[in-house]
Amino acid sequence: MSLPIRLLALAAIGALLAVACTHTAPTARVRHPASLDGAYEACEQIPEVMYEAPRVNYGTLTRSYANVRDHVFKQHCSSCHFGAEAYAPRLDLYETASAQAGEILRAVEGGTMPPSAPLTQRQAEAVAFLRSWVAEGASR
Amino acid sequence: MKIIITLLLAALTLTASATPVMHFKAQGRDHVVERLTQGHGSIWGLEFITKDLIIFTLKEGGIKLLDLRNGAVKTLTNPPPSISYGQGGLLDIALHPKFDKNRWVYVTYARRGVSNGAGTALARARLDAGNTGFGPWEEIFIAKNLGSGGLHFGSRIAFDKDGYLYMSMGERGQGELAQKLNVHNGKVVRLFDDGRVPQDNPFVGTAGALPEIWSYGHRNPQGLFYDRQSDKLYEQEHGPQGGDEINLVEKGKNYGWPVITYGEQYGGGPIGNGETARSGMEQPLKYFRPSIAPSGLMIYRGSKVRLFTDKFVSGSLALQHLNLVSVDEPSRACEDRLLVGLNDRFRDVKQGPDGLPYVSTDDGNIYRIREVSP
Repeated sequence: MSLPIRLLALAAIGALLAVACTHTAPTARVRHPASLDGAYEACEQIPEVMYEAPRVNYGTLTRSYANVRDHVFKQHCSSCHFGAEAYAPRLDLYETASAQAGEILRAVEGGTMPPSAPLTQRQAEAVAFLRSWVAEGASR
Repeated sequence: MKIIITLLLAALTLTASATPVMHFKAQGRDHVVERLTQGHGSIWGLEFITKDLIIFTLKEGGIKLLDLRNGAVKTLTNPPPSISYGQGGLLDIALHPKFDKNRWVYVTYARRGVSNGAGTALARARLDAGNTGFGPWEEIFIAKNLGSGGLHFGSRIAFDKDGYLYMSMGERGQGELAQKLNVHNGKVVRLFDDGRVPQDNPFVGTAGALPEIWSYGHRNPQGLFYDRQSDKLYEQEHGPQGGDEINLVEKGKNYGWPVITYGEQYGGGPIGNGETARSGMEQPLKYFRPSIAPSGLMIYRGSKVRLFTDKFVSGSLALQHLNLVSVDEPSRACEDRLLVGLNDRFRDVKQGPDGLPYVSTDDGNIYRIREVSP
């Protein structure tokens, strides 16, 4: 195996560990009762496999901004609060996230954020980690 | 193992904001479905203003901008004057063919009637150079398709190669009006880009007929697509139970609703005389039985996702999937249903500047599909 291929394979394995996707079967669909539902003929057989976000073991993580960013903000807040044109507060920058850490926690605990509240179990676990980071001074 | 490595290599090339949510195998190739944003309201229409920026409408009102480079979403200022009214709200969005120069953005939406009820309207405004918001909205066409109920507003917008604008609108739950030429219920209209009526429209000069009408006899057309490759206009509409259709839309033609249909009354029983064909009325290219409740429509002319190439791609609401039908053989009995496991209502479809298919949903997601096998 040549060196570039080995490096590529290593990168792939690293990504596997980082992404750590689990495969689950698709859940049952909800069908409209008035759709005259029935069999249809498929042109292709297309098996689907779902990804599910990895469960984070927060107990093993240091309470640092980097971990909060990667395992809380990135998973649950990035669609609105990451990037130059994001809604305030920007959560992909330590300075803005730490300066407003208290307000961020209050918004989450008060049900204002995320807009899809109430929280799922995984979101609740993420909030608990966020809370402990804030309680310890929202350090870098 | 090979498949996993291939998928992971694809994952390494993802943009920062893309989250893989599903993969599927078809025609011996693997595909990954990525979620690009989530948590919005019903994303009724989307367009690309650059290769990295998607502009999208929310049925509840408001227009947002998604930056694919970082996943950031912002709300644009001065949204169109839409109202929420049953199935109506802020609906489709389209860019002027010369958007890069004139910045015109077009939308359709539910609009309250002068005295009562609501119908469908078309407006345009310029998006500012900084992509922060819109100038004043100019209502360039207010459809005479009023109804007091909340059903069947349509609608979609399409521009053809000559710059004519086509807009579809529903019959507002009043099927018989789809056959009347003195109202816009259940019609496709053809306009200049500023709302003026082209004098070569089919009913210009016909007594009692509205001059904007291009085709009629539609029920609730939520899909409209101009195919530049074939220079043809296609429309997709919600039929009654078992009667959704894909139609080739041509000048002045009657698509039959509610006189002919392959559908039936909800709960069973014929509609009208139960006719499926009549002289002077067009047959659909494809009808769906069971109904899929289709919304956005496109023909995918790209080559990056070969499963989709030269197929009608449409979102299904009720049966919650992305639907593929062959363009060359639309009446072929078979079809393909994708993204079933996402349990979402697929609302609009677009081919991006990168050649990939993009899909928006009523649950506020935008997905992208990639082929990841060599």
